Amino acid sequence: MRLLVLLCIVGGTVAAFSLYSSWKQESRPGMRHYLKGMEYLNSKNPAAAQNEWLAGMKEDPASFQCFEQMGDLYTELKMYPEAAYCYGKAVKLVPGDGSLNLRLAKSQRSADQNDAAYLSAKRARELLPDDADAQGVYGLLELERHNQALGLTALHRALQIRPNDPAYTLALARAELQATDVPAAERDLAPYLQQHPDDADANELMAEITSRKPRTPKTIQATTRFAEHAVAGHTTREDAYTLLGHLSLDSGRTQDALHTFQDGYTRFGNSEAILKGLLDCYARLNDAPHRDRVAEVLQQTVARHQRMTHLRDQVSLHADANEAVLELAQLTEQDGDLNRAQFFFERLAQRNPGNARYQAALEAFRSRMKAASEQPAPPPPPTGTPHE
Amino acid sequence: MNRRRCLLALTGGLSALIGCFKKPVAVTPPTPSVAPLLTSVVDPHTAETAPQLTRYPVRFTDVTAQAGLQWKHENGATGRFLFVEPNSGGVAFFDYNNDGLLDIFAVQGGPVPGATGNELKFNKRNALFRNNGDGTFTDVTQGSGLEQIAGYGQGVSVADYDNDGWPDLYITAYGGNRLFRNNRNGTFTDVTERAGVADLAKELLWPQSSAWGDYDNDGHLDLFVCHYVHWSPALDQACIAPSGQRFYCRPQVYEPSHCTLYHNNGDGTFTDVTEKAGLLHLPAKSMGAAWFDYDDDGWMDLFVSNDMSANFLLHNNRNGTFTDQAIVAGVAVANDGTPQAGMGVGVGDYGNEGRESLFVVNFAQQPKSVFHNEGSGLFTNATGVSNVGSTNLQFLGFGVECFDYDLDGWKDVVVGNGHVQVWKDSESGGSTAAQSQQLLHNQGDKTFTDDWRSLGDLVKPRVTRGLAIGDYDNDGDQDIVLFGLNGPLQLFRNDGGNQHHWITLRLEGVYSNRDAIGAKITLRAGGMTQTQWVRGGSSYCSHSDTRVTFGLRDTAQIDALEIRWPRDGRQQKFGPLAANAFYWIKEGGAPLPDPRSKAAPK
Repeated sequence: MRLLVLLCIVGGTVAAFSLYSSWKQESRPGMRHYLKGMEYLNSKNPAAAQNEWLAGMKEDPASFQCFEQMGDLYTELKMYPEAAYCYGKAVKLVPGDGSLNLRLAKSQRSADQNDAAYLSAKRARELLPDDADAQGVYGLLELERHNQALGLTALHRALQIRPNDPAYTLALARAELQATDVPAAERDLAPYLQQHPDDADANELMAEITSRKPRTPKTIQATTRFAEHAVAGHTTREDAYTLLGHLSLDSGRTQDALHTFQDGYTRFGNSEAILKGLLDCYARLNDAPHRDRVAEVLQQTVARHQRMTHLRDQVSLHADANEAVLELAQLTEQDGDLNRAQFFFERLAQRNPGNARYQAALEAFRSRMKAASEQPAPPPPPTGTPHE
Repeated sequence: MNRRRCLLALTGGLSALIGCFKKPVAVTPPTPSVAPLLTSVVDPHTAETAPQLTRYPVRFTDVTAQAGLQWKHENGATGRFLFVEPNSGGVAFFDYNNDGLLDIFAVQGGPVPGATGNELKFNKRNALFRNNGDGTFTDVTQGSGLEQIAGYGQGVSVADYDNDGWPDLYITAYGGNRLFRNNRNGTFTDVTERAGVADLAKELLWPQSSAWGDYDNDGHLDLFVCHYVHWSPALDQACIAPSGQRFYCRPQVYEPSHCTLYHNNGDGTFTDVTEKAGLLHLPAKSMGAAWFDYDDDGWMDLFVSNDMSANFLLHNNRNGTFTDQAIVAGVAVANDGTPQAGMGVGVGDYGNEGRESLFVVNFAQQPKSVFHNEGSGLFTNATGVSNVGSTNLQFLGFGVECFDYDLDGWKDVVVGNGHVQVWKDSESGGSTAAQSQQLLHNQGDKTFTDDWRSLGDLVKPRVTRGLAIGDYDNDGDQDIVLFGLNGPLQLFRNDGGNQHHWITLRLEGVYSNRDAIGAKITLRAGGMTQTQWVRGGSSYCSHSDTRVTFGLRDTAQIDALEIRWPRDGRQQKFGPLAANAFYWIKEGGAPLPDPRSKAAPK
């Protein structure tokens, strides 16, 4: 009986303490704003929720919940640098939270903060050793750092935890292919492709894998089949069109190749590979006007991309390479990657608040975007009408 | 509670993330359309059907030690990963004393100029080895005048620029190139300043390969010099891997340079005609170059490989100017539209169609490029159909030559490999610094196979840069000499190639340039027609024997031989001729047994 009483007392004390802690926690301004924000979110009022969380971040910077929620919100809005900032604050408050570290790593990676992302992913993986994403994201970052063995091991582990995850399966097979391990790439992709025969990108990757084998009727047939599946499924990569087009060219079916590259051009107009394919077709068809026009566009595209690569290297090597960032922004805009161009223009303006030229460049970019959104007029393709 | 919300949010976030990875589903499973494709792809494209052939085993044997070739390259690596360090080590097979025996010259790197403190630490001496005719060589560098040059040695090319019948030497070097005139007595005189080919412009120039050709058909050999990126020790960038390790930067980090063309004035001097020829504004990161006549119009064009930059195909406009036709002709970039990291260049008519095609070796993980000459001013990228694309992507090629090592009548390819980086295994992507060399055997149907069996000692890993071919023992088959980063000069004897019949021609121009560079030789034997050209430079920073060897398979007689001389296109026809012999053909004269070279017994 005495023991029962004692247990009741202890239990009561614990409950009271828990209630007190909960009350104390919830009475903090950060928690109040967080809970209020969640209520708004549940009643489908995200704007009000955002205001609550922003207020919570300001009033109670020692409370992580609002930072976390804003991180999630920014991620959803694809505002990755902002998301990384919020998750970063939250992680400082609860460094042992694996899921926060993982989300931080993902947002940092999306915001091109790869060194920071790598450290966050490493920590997330330590905290969540049995989490497929913690392993997978870490593996992807190791691969980006050319740590082939570590990257492949982590991706294998991710796929042990979550077999046939599309992203990690494809990343693993692509890494193996890049390491010229064609058998491993085929081995790791084949089971997934058997289960997901309509995955266009998996078909595209398998087409690349089979195209790396010595050319025999069997491998040509396989490459063709996979590439055709990929094209039919609207693959996100232009390589399927390139493989298919060049196989047609190699076998003397120039018109088929031309149609393939023209299809590809409608989806990947800025791709050097598609332009090169078109050029080869027009050259073989003795269509000098189209050939010369495409050659000019290809030459400009190649030169622009080479210059952009050079500038990216300068930017990564020299923190103060502002002029390189400006030129990179302009060339990226010319290249049609407007989100990325905006990122560069904004970065330049943010880092040089006193520089009128950089501020003006950003403003001019925004004006162009505004004008373009009011008058959408895509440039005419250099391919002309299809040849029959 | 918060933890649960966290988890819910995370799950939601992950679901959203995974949702992003979902791919559009194919609406209709497509039917593969392969039947016509297969038929045409597997059809051999041979110009002529060759008779059945007896095959003999070939093996390349390392005879360096028994030949007495003791020489080592030093690249003067400072530990600072200066960008100039991985590129050096040209080598030449040439007969400097006109005794009919191929001698060897190797270019030393030495200390990197401007890298303070290493001037005395590294060997700066070049090496000239005289062929004794008994399988051995003697180091005759001392007193030859070729011992040292001021700059950081890169490559070498050989030509009789003054048409006196004696081969002269042009050495490319960071810090100034040098032209050495052959004194006809085993020594050379540095005539660079008088000739005006020091190649020191106002801006920084880092030379690589050089090549000789008579672009204006005036009978005097002109000189083209490749330049790599705009670099100096002061401009060197510190490229650091995420692991913290320094590595050699990629060429994209640096600004491009431009190549140089020197016109031979015929009086021992040259004029820099780069701007006049239209080459000054072509952005070059050039490594290899070869003069060739791709449109067969009798005017020498030029192919230049660039490192991570579009290649050049400089079409000769016949008026002293050139137009870059690489994009339109299909040799500028790979099939994916991106420039490759082009290194050395090999040229050869691998399909026996009478047209010169191109082999360009690229960086590791990039297939070697095969540009097949279609004969209409256009090339097709035959990397895939030739099966060269699927051969050992872990190798990084530098030197490359097209030659028929088994004398079966089809031009094969040899590639000298070696990486530029000193990677940790985990970062290498399958590559190592020292690599095996490669022999790509021509199957006679415009495809190649990696011929591991014939490699012999060439399989032993080394970091090759310079590669040259030539028949040093005059036994009819061609041998290989390699030089490269911090490795030995190595000679590989072709054992077994001459089981087939052969013929070797030494052409001498009279009205044309004396080396007959640019001469087109067409030979018919045993039902096969083959064509070769006398070449004044190819591979990487290296010079191969200018004599021309044809493999004749099992045929002991040449039915017909036709020569088109370079200067005026005059043609001479001969035949029949006996096989297994060295012939000397002076422009306007008949083929004579070469008084210099006597065929060694099999």
